[in-house]
Amino acid sequence: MTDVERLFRTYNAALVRYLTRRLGDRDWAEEVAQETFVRALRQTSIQNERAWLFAVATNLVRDEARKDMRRRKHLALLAEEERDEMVEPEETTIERAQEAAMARKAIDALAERDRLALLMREEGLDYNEIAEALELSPGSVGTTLSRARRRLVESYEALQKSREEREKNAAS
Amino acid sequence: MQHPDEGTIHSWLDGALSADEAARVEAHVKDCPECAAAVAEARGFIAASSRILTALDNAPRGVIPATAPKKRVDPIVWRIAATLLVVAGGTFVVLRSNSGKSTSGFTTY
Repeated sequence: MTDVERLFRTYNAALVRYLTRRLGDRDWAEEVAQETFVRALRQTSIQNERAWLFAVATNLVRDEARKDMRRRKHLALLAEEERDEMVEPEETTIERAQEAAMARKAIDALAERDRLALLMREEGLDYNEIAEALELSPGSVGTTLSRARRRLVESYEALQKSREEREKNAAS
Repeated sequence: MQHPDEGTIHSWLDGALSADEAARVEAHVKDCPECAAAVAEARGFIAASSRILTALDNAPRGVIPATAPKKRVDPIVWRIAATLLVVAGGTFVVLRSNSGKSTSGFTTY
C-alpha cells in the first residue's frame, strides 16, 4: 500500500464528512477531498498528516472564485429542489429537510474560524491539530470552540422556536 | 484557584488540558456550585452541537449536475406526431382499398 493509499483509507471518511458539513453538497465534498489527496501526492513528507489534510482542504474551499460560481448553481438548484418538494410533500422527508436547513443556517451564522474549528473538532482533531490547521494559538482553541458551540446551539434553538411559533399560528 | 472561564471548561471537557491543569479545574468544580453549573451547561452545548451537526450529513448528491439535464420532449409534440401518424395511416388504407376495388373490377371484365 502506498503512502497516499494509506492516507486515503485513514482520513477520507472524516475529511469528506467535514467537507460535506461545510459545503452542503456531498459530490463537491468528495471532489475537494480527492484534490486534497492529489496534493498530498506531491509532498515528499508531511509532518502532521491530519492537520495538513484538513488545512489543505479548508484552503481549497476558500478558493473564492470557484466557490462563488458553485454557490450560485447550488442556490438555483436548491430552489428548484424546494419547488419539487412542495409538489409531493412527504412528512418525514420534510421534517428532516427542515432540521437540515436549520442546522445549515445555524452553522452558516458562525464566524468562519469558529465554524471550521468546530467541524474539525467533530472529526476528532485535537487542539494542537486544529491550531495548526487554522493557524491559531493552541491556547485560543478552547475559547473558539466554546463560543462556536454556544452560538450554534443558541441560533439553532432560536430557529426552532420561530418555526414552532409559525406552525402554531398557522394551526390557529 | 479563580473560576475557570468557559474556554478552559471546554478544554477540560475535551481532554485538552495538561494533567496538572485538569486536576486543578476538577478540584475547583467539585467545590464550586457556580462552576459545576457552567460545566453542566458546557456538556449540554457539546452534546447539542454534535447532534445539530449530524443533521448536515444527509447532504444531497448532485446538487451541481455534471452535465446539463436532457431536454424533455413536450407531450404536445408527441400528440401532434401521433395524430399525423393516424391520419397518414388512414389515408394509406383508404387509397389502397380504392385501388384494390378498381383492379378487381378490371380483371372481372
